[in-house]
Amino acid sequence: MSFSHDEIREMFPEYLRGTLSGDMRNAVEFHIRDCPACRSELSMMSGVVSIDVPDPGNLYWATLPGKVAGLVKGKKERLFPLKSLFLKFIPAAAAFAILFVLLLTGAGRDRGYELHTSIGDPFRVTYLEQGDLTDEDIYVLAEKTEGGAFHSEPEDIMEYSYYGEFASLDSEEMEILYGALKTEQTKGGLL
Amino acid sequence: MEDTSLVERYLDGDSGAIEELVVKYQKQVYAFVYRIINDAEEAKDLTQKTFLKLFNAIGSFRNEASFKTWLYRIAMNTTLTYIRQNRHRAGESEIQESIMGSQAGALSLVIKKEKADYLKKALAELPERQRLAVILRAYEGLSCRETAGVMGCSEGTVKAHYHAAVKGLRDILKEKGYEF
Repeated sequence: MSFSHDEIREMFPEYLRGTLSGDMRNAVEFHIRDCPACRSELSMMSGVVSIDVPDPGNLYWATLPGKVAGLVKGKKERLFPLKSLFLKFIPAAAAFAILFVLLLTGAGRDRGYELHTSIGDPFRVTYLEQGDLTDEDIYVLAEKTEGGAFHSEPEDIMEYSYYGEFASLDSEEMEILYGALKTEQTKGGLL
Repeated sequence: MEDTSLVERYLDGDSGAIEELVVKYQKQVYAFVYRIINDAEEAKDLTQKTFLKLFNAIGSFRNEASFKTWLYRIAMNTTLTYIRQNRHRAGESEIQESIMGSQAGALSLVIKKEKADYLKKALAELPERQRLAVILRAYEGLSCRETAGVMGCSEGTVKAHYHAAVKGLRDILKEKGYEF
């Protein structure tokens, strides 16, 4: 069986460790006999592998696993209070989120009061400047309200208010009022 | 026991799995880190840091790559981050001391040691990716595919780095009068 240079080189690490099977080992040795490039690379790898690594000693090897285990556990315990705080926060956050969604969607908007049908949905109201309204708009608005009460109602209230106030004055007070208006040259609604 | 079983045991709350995994891989991780950094004391600290990072991130371990490849990747990143943070270029003084301190003995042994020391120095002079390719392939015995997994690149890139490294080492040693 013949192998390419790449395949032979791929086997070098195992060859140097002595973990290559007999057949593969023979194949590597057969190849490098006739291939100076692969032989040179194997020689280089062999030199690299032979560089010693200083042994830190048995004490280091014996204590490292326990040390790592202790630090990992310690870190977990330190993280635990934060984790529990976070877990406590979850229900509050969920409740807040539900409340926020309810407010946004307007659920329960009509609870406790009823909107007049002439007002409509306040979330859909369009604010218009008075100057933007034409006679036609006013007519349409008035038509939509009950019998034009939209316009007449404020006037009636004001009129009633004046009448009620004047009715409560006796003749002497009326004289004084008349005199005052005349003095100021101010015209009242009744004069 | 299989690595994946140990990982599952740890994730199920068995802290004994921590020690078993450390015992299984501590020597490999230490040797790998030392070969990158060429400093025994720092290699000891970085080995410990590697395992701590491993257990902090073990929840994200997927069986797509082998546990060993994943561990080497963490060790490599931990060591390279340390080197970058400390602008560490280890090895030179250590090699010099090693040569000076070698006892007179058989001439061949001294020459062999000297050659190994120069090789070590030459390895430290290689660009980072080339050095990693040699360390993972030659020292750790990883296949091209595994090395690619650790380095996060393609097999073709690993081969390119590795061959450039071999050529670089040969050139450096040729200047010192050594031939391979």
